[in-house]
Amino acid sequence: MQINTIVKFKKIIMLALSICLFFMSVPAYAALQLELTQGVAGAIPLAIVPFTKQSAALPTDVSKVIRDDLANSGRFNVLPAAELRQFPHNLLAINYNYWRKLNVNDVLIGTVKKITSNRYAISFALIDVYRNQTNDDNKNQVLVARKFEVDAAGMRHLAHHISDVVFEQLTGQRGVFNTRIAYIVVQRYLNKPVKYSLEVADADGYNPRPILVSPQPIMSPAWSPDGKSMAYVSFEHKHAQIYIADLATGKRTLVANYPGINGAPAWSPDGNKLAIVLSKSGNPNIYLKNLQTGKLRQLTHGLAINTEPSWSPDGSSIIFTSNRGGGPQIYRFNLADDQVTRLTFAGNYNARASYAPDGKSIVMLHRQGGLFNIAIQDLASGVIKTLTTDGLDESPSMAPNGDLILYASQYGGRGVLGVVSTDGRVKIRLPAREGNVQEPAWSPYLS
Amino acid sequence: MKTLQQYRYPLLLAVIVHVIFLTLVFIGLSTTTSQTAALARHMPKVKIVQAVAVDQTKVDAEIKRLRHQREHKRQLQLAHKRARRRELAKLTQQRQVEKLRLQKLKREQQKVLQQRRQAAKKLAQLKQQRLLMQKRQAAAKKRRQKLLAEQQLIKQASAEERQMQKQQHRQLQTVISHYKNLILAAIRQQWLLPLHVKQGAYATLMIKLAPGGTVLSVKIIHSSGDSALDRSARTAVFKASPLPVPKNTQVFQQFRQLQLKVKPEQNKVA
Repeated sequence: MQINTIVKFKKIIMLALSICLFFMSVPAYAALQLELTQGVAGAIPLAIVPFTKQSAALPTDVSKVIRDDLANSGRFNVLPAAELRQFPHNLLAINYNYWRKLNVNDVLIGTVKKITSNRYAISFALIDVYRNQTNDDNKNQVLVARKFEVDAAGMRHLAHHISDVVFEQLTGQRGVFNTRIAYIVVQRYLNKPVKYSLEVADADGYNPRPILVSPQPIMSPAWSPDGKSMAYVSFEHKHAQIYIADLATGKRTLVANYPGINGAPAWSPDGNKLAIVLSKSGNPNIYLKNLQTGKLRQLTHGLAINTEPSWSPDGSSIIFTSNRGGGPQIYRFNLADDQVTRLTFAGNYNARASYAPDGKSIVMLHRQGGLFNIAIQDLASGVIKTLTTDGLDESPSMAPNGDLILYASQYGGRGVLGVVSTDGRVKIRLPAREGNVQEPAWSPYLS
Repeated sequence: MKTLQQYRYPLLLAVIVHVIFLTLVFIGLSTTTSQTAALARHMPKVKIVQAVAVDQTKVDAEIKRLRHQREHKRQLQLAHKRARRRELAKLTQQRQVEKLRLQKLKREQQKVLQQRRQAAKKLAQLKQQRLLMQKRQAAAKKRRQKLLAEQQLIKQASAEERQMQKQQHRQLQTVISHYKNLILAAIRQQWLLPLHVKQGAYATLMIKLAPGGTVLSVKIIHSSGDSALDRSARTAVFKASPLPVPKNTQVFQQFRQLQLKVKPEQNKVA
């Protein structure tokens, strides 16, 4: 018994010693320190597996909508569906090595199931291909997974919602897929009066519906900051007037009906004021209309043209286009001290400027070599970057996340809408409408 | 030699004492013999007889005188005898005394000798002891020197080793920084910078590598607070796998764990 314990003790000591020796013989290496400050600018490679359909005919191809949303967002490099050879619809079916070979960072899978005649169950999961090198922990790879139930009419909306969720998950920023756009459609037909329509559509150009139809010109639609109202200029009474329409009720209010020009309305960020252009004193000048009191304050003076006002995101200043220096250039009017500063110096034609949501840059119409293109100017450095090259682009309007710019362009002899990413990498045309599409305006976030 | 020097005076003293003693003995002996010789020379002179004309009275007188003379002679002889006896007795006494003294001296001498022998013995012992001590000391000294030499050798060796290690370390650092740059370049090519990153935001990742550079795991040990930034970095590391690492297994040990700080610098897009 005693001998046994001694032997045991000896064994323990030997073990302890050998452990000590082991640790002494294997030096402990501290982790090597590295620092990386540069990467590459580029779109995130993403695969979207067509959602499994358990019924033949569906009102909306959900995964196709998501694919278009994300592909057109400027932030994703979505693998073409034709290149896919594997179509997993659940986590267990995912072969991570396959997706890694395709060099995608993430995979979106999902299903659409018809429950009743007009009810559909839709689920999706976003999978991080690189979260773990080992494939044994599937749950860990899922970035986000959700389930929904919608009717046929809500499917497109839900698809945009999924796009937003994926976008936010992967970029850390809000997506704009469930926002809307407003624009003017001008339709001219032989032997028919010209038809002007103010329309609102989904951000991808689908689901257009008219807000106002008129035989007289409609111009300058402007979204209220809460997205519930829209100001616009209508010539329905043969001269320019500014109205505000409640989008839910269709009720509208006349807010500016001064002699001469009543134009270019722009909402203050708090929604209480409207910057407008009036020519009641002779030449166009910028005025502030208080929507609650109705009071009018003139901001710009002089004999030059001052037009196209746009608010800074903090509401402290207004930028506008003026030819006071000869050609049209962008100036900033500081509301605190009425000081005017010139912002643009590159080229002899800069107009229709608006702030990016972060207030650090402005997007504008920029003429270069006789071509009118959309450009973005960094306010700190003054550096201008031209984003489009069509030469006949105009009316830029930035998406609320600052990633995309909606603008009016010409294609096939017609006015169409285009979207360009602020880095200039992605450029798309929205679905064509009959007639000429003009003066687009991107809505704020609507929820 | 040392002992001889140390005992020179006692030795000299002993020699002198002996010489004096022997001289004394010799003188004593020589005086006794000369006296006896003188006595022997007197004797024949007394026996000489002169033959002359004699008258009775004269003869009687002569006889009387002769008798007288004889008597006197006898008396004298007796006196001589007595004197001689006394002398003899005295001499024997002297001799006795001398003998005793000699014996005493002898004893003393022996004593001295013995003492000396003992001293010598002691000395020898001491000598031996000292020798032993010296031997020991010498041995100790030798040992110490040997140890010192060994230590010196070790020192020298370790210095050389250190020098070598330093050099190796320098070489290692060069290799390491080379591969560090390769790794950073590999990840940089894969790192899709998220737009709109907050100024100064950074994430720190702990990367574990297998030999050959395969990324085993990436752990976010400091989140930037921006999940898109965190994930972009992690994905970049995985996509850059296998990372370029040294083939040498020893050097690779340095690359088993990498701590990567990703901090997007504005306007530094490659």
